[in-house]
Amino acid sequence: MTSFFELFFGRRRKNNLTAQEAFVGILLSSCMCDEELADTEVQGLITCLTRMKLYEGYDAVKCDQLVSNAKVALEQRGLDRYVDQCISNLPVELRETVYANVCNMVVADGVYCDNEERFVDLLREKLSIQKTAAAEIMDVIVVKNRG
Amino acid sequence: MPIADDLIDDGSEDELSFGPLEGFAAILLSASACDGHLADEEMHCLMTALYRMKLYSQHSAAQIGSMMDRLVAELERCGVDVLIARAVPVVPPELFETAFVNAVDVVFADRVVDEDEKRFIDNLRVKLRVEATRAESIFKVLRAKNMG
Repeated sequence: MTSFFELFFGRRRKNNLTAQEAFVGILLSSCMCDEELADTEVQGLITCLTRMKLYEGYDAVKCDQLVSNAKVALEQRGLDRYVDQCISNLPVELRETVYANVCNMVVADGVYCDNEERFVDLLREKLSIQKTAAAEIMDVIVVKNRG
Repeated sequence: MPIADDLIDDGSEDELSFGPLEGFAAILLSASACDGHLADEEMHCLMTALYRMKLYSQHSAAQIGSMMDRLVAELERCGVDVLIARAVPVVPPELFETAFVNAVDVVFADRVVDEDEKRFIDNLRVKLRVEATRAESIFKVLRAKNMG
């Protein structure tokens, strides 16, 4: 059965991206901003998706397909243009959610490299999240991933 | 004794040994169970949190799974309050806030926070010495993270 979230957010929006595609596209971009996509990052990404109501009804195969499609689109359009397209298709109420999940993914491996820091800062600007709110999010997420 | 030894299940039926590894996991398990049931989303969140931590990095999924089985049995035997009372003293103080943040993340994982969970989190906050204003900030961030 199609879930409420799929009905509400699953419609194709301008530039042919659904909310699900836009959300996964931003997460994938954060994984690929250092130009390497590790299997553990893909696994972490899929774990994040399967927890979300937005992806209710998506099994591992469907999530894998979503990630593969996003990877192709990212490679075709380039990081900057693709992220812009994803953000323009992302519901405004999911902006802080995607930012918090990106922060969670980039600090999960205990290494927060310069490329990732630059990407997170650029994403904050593109998502119009205030610096203080972004700092609060990152601070809590860093504590979450400590130990 | 190295804390890693705590995880090795020798198959004995003795009372569960309780080191930092069991203590941290017991707090997250209690967060999941405090409303009377273990929701799949919450257990998934809990296990993901443990697998990602350096604290558990020297242990296989099977070892962590075995530890969780023993903790679930202990939870069923003695209940959430007793489990928390045993867990908090063995968690290193530098991981108190991390344990609290992860417990809140587990509670928010199914996007429903009921009265039992609110009470549990408030009691846990006091036991783990997290300031109320800091806890508010943690709630705000994790609510956003788990939205959608």
